Amino acid sequence: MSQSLSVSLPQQRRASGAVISDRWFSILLIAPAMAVILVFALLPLVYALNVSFRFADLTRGGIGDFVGLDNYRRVLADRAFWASVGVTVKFTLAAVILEMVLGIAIAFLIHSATKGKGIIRSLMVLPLATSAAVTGLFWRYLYDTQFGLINYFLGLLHLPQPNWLGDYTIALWSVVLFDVWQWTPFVALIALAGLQALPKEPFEAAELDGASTFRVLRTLTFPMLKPVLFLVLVLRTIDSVRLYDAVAVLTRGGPGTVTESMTFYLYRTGLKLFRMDYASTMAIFFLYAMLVASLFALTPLLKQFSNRASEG
Amino acid sequence: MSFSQAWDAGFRALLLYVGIVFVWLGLIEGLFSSQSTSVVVMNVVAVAIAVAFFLRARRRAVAERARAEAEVRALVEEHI
Repeated sequence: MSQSLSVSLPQQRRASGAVISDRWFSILLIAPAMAVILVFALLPLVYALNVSFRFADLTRGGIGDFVGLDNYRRVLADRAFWASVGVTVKFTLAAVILEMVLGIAIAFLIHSATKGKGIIRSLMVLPLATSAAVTGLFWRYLYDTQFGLINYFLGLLHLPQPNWLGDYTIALWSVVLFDVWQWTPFVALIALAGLQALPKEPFEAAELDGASTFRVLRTLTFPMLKPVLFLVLVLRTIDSVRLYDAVAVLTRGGPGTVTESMTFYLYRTGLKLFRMDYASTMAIFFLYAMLVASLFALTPLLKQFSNRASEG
Repeated sequence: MSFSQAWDAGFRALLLYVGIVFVWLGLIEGLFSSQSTSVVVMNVVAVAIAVAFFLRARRRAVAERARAEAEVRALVEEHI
């Protein structure tokens, strides 16, 4: 029995007189995934690329003539596009830094807790389990100037009651606050899993040597947690750059355009103003920026993993 | 150079090409009086840099493989 289990699948197929080679068998295995990627990712990408080189104002008919690089020139000179890039960068920096700091702090708190870990962990999953469109509506009511709970409590404390989503100086920070509320538990849960997976021996040795808590954190905990934290940082950054749902539900890009992220501007241009050429060009820019950022972010991570594998 | 190395280097070369095009359109094209001349020069520069990048990656991969093979050969000879 154990002998038959140790025989690999291709060998079994050869023994049973299979009609297809290993090469074709492996191609057959990846074909469904490739077909899905082709239909849902590559074909739309090729179409968007084609549209970005054409005139495509849907209010004046369908996809028009080839215009070369004109759409790219226009996007690069468009102030609204660069403003939306600025909003996205500002949002990403603020949200990711806050989520990382708070998430790691919460993970440490839960890790050292003696009771109720399970309940806290279950409660922390709740914001993640609900869609941003639903929780966004809930937060819109919280932020409401007239009936919102936040302003109600601020009023009880005789504090100023700002117009959270209508004041252009704080509207973006209100969106950041919502995102931090929703995604800090994600960072905390992953950091907590990383903390719980750390080996105990180095920490016991450090304790015996009389190392201070700060030194243990600096020389043991954080270096050992680095791959996990780096992964969660990359995931959160990529997700924050794609910011759309929170803006769509909370502010619709307003007041004015102060909370208009890249993706929301793209949506407005393509599906409100029907300038598909312009929207496709921005989508290509967005994709390019994401590809380059992912390449830079993932290279050290992959190197780290391959070093670990070769050491192991 | 293996297929996966060539794929990786090719993808990076493509990204480099597209990046040069974007930077050119945004910053350099204004310096040209004719747009079509700018596009031709831009493509020549972008293709040259992308190809140079790919060739450099290929040279590195070949050298790395030669080094690894030499290491293995030395180990085998040591055992014999």
